[in-house]
Amino acid sequence: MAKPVETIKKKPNSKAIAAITLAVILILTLASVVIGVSGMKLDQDGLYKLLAWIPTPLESSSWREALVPGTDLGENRVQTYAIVTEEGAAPSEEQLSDTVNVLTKRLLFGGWNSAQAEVVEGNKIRLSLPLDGTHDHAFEMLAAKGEFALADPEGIAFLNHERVKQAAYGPTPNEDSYAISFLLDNEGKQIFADKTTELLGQSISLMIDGVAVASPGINVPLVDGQASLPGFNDETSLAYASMMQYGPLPLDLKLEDQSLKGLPIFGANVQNMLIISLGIAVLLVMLYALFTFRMGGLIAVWLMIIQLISVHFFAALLNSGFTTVTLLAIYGSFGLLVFALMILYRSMKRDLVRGRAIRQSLKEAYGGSGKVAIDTLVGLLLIAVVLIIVDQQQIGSFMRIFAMGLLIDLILIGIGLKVLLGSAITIFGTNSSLYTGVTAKKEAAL
Amino acid sequence: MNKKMDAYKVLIPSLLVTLVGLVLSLLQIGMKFQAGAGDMVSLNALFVSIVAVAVTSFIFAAVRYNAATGLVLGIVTLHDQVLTLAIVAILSMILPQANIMPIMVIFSVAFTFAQSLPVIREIRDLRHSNSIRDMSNEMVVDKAVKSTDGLRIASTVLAGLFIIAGLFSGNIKFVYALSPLVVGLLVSLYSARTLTSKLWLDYSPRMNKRK
Repeated sequence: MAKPVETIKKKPNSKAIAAITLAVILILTLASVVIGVSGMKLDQDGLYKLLAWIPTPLESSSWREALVPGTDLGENRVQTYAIVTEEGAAPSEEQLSDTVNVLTKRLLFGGWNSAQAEVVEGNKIRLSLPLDGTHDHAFEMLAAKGEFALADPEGIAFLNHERVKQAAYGPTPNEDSYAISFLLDNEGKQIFADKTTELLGQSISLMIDGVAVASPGINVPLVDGQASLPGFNDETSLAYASMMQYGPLPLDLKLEDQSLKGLPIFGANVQNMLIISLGIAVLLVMLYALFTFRMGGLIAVWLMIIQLISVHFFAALLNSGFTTVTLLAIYGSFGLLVFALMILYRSMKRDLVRGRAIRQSLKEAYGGSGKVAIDTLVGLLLIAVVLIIVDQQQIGSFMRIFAMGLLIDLILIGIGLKVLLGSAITIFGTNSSLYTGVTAKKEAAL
Repeated sequence: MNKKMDAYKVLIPSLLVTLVGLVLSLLQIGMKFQAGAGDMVSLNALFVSIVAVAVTSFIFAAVRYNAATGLVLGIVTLHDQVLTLAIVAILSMILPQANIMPIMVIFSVAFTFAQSLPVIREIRDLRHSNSIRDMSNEMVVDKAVKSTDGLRIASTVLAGLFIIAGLFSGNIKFVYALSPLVVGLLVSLYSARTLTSKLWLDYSPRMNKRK
């Protein structure tokens, strides 16, 4: 009679799996740090490269191309405009203020969140602009008066910016040019519908400062109060769309002077000082974690490094620039990660002092007071998402990076800590003094 | 009646400061900005965002915990945001603000959550694990505030470390620009210590009784 074959099931070596897991994550972390600091050539000729994205004080580093310093923290382009008035009359304070206001809105519309417009010497306007590769002509266009109108073939205007509810610009679907699109209010919608019906088969002109910049033909009546006009480049589409949205400048401006060596608004050496001082702060936090929680602290430091690399990377990807606001988002979310780790580790330490095993303490930390950490991150992430929807300008832009940081924090707390700490416990054992600074003496006393 | 008075007593100083900030701003004595920065700031957008933050906080805590907790967190968040803005408006007379002031004020909600949520959580845990006979609501609240003192101090030190790093890095304009963060941090510390627990004491037993 045949005997059944006994198959011996090999148990997977948990220590080996844990070691491989830690090794892989360590290699990925180290590679990210090296590439993040120094960048990487993607081809032999150096035509394609992955820019560095972790800020360092080194002048030779390419991180400033990925995270372009804003006017607050980096050298900037300064354009000074003189006011052109009839018969040399002095402009009023209100006119100057309104001009700065419209200019500011146009700059924000173009995404230059750190740009600044201000009145100087009583009758000139100075623009401080980031050195992000934008051609100076683009800014000069934005400083044009910008009287927008839609006109019939005889040049008679029938609509102006007051009837425009919203304007936008962007590449056309086949990306061969840029288009300007606009949405009119109810009155504008009616006027536009009537005029395009009347001018069927003819054309209308998009007029800026009395000059026709586009004359599209009317093939069908446009009755829904919106339209899209292609055939512009990125500079003109941005300038004209902003003029449609915000109207003309109250005053005529003329470029008087330009410099590429404007000092950062927050101090000549603020960039390097911030990188160094924030680095010191991070180092102090990491040293505290290492000394207080030992192996557990090392895991916490590892997570902090991953967080900083990731959030800086996404900030660069989102073109957020190296500005005070970006740094607030990055280090704000870093601080919340440290806060969450602090809660979890303090809870674990309390359980270990009471004699619980390390794995059980980790589980209880997540199930008990650790929920505060998760709640804080989730609640703030929800607020960030709401504000991204509610605010389309400053606050919304900030919340995009902050939300990314919070998401990374949640992943690191929810998954990263469990994986790394769990693997470390598997490899190095369950001696509680290794992870939370509870000494062997204290443990024996229990 | 006494419990209600306690919560409103704590709110009175904040309301007074807010009123002063509002009056100074309306008179254009307060809410001063550095050159050109004021034109880049949309106060309407800031007000809308503050309301959105408070409402979202309420909804989050109401869904996560219960309506009473939602009300507490919503009120504390609104209080912290509005008080921070009011103090910034007053301080701006000597520390003119940068164009990033709205972001600094809104960001202080992170301080509010980090300071007040542990208190709320601790109150709930103590209430669930102790009968009302063993521990009255007042005792629960007192214990919760005291037992979370250490965490709140540690969070404050952590935040303070990074703010100080910033303060020493730039010129005086940078110090002015970061001042709302300092204000937000101190306001959140104050409200977590004094307001959060009083509000819970007022709303939670009342709203839970209705069930």
